[in-house]
Amino acid sequence: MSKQPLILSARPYDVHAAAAMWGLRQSGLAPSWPSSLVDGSVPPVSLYCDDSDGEGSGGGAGWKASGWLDDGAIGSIWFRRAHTPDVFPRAIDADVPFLRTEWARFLRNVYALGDAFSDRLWVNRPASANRAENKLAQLEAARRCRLRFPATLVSHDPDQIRRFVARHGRVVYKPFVPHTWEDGATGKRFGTFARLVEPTMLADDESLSLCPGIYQVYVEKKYDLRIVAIGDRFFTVRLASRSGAAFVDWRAYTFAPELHVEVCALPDRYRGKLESLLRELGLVFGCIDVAVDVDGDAHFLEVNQAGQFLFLEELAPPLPLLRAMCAMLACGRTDYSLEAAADVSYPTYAASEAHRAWWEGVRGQLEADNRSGAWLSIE
Amino acid sequence: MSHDSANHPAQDKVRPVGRIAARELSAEEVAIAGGVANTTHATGPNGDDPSDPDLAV
Repeated sequence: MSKQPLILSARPYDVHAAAAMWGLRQSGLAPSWPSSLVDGSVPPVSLYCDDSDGEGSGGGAGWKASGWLDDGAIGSIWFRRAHTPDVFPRAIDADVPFLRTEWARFLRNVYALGDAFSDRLWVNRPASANRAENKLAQLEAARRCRLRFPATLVSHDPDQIRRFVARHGRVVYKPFVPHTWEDGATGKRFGTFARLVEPTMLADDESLSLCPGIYQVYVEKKYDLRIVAIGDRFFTVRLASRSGAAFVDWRAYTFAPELHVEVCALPDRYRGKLESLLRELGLVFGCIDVAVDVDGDAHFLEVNQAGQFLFLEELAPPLPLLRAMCAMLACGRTDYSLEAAADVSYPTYAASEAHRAWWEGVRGQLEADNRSGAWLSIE
Repeated sequence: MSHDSANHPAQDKVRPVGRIAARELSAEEVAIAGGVANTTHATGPNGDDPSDPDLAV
């Protein structure tokens, strides 16, 4: 049997993981997506290493892995949204903290070894994924790759923030991670998106100093680009308002009729810089956000190493994003051929009985998690 | 607590600038956050920035 893909995504309602599982099966593969690393849904892993001659000569065969890290069985790992196991159904409560810690440390070791097991493809390698989750590390990489990006201040110093805004005028505030507040009385929800700084946001020293925020010069943009890098292939869409007015944060208009999305070409010169950026960050997959100003100059905003991309197949068909991801995972290499996967698409999956049946089984968990997640506060 | 109170919290409390900057979500955005079938969008708790990535590295 040929090597198979493994998907590590902790959320059972991860539509991207489910679509990839379907696409890979449609392509004749037998991928794995364990619901947990401890419930028996995947074979337990063992790692072995010795120095072969016992003399400390640097010899030995190196690390050998079995189970869900088997060198001979797993050709690619989509490290999408892994999570340390925290549910142990047959354990007593007193043991759970110990079990969680041991699993966390074990996985940290596995991920730190990275390529030591084999030359299999990680999408993305854990250490690189972890680093690239940091927006400031992204900007530093962009700077080294000579990508243009907006001047950025990260601060909880009220004086510095006000000086930055006074100097640059139109400035965007954004948090590190989106958060939602729910009004306990009305049920209304309020969410953080990138937003132009207004005077009321700068009025209170304590409000500004309570936690750091990201303040970034607003790009007087004509449109946004969402560039999905899947291995060596780049897929680019242009997001603009039908009226010609720019969006501060296009994500807030995902459902709005004024959002116009179309597939477009990525200039070779800019593509080269983005390839450098991904190499610098050690990524083989990423959803890159770029703002293009009225002069046509591109400004890098961020790269989401575990970003969302299948919605683009619905907004701007035909984009073979699901097929590309399946082909890369099937081949276990970044210079894959699209022919390595069947002609699958996300809209086809979303309309399938397979999707309906899967969704019925997981939507309850999503609804439960959405009521208790750290992303939501009840006021 | 109402939206207005983000700017006018109780006398001895303070709200972060992130809460003051937050805007009311549309019904469709709330639906995404609440569990409709299509959650491949970049927004919401399962969007680009999952609320608890826990990469364990």
